[in-house]
Amino acid sequence: MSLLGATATILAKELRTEFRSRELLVTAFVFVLIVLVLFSFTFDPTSAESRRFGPGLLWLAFLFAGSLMLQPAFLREQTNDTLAGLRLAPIDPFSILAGKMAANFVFPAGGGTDPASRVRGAV
Amino acid sequence: MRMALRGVSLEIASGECVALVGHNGSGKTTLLKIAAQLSRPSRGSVAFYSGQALQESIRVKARIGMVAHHTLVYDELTAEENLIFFAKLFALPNPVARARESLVPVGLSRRSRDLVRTFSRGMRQRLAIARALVASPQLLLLDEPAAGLDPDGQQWLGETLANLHSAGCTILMSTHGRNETQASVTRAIRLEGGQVTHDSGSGGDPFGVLAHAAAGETAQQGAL
Repeated sequence: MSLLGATATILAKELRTEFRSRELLVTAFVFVLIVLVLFSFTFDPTSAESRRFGPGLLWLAFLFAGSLMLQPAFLREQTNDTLAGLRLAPIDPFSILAGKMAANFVFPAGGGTDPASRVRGAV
Repeated sequence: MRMALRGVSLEIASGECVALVGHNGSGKTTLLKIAAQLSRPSRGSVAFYSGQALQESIRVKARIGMVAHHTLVYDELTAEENLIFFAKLFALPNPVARARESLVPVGLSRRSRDLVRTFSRGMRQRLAIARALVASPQLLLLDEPAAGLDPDGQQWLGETLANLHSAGCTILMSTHGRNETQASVTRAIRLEGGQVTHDSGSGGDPFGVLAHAAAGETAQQGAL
């Protein structure tokens, strides 16, 4: 199986399991919400400068949330040793990481669908 | 550092059904993990299929099925979704049909749309076996496959292994005591302290080694 195909299969599995357990989704949603609230307190919404920096700051928080959730995403694979199940499959091992990273990029998006537009509204 | 295996050198011919026996901690699981490429030996090497080395692991893995100590299936997916997922990773054509077919012999067709977290230990073990067999492996590695199975399940597993062995599948399994899964064993290897102490060999009598190991286990249980 190609790297892209395996990544897509693992991404789909990650999303399916997450939308059932909602372990990481809730964490991501709360994190994005806190960032939005903090930014709205920190910056003056009418300031032109905050409008310029806001989207970048939120993207930073968005990616940070994704990387924070990478470890729990792998910890979850310890139940039933499913990581071994993935390692037994005839796929490029990088696709396991890529699939999880892609999923962790999508989870915060569940909390802030378009971070740039959110920050424009919040800041 | 404690060595799990010491000086183990084995050659298993295609089509053999080999039982690994020995006390807990004797190195059976480590040997199976090395064979499955889940662990790397600190020394020595493993070769598959006339010398295909670890570097070709992706092609080798496509031919291996494993039932491990854990079930290797996701609790948050249904039985069918689990098998579809692994069938896709093995790039099988028509993974949905393959998954449904695989659930029939393990007796889980009626529970195919139930989440695995609702399954009993025995049902999970049946699903783990279906997962290992979904890609029709040529080499089957089984770590105590009868664990958690009721007598009917053990009998079914014994028949399944016999059928796979008849079809030319190579089987390497760790086992305890005497059970139905040992019926098709053609060779038995006993490990103690990470070393091979008995090997019936390809043409020898495996049941002598199995009986000897079972007697040893019984004696140990009695001492405890």
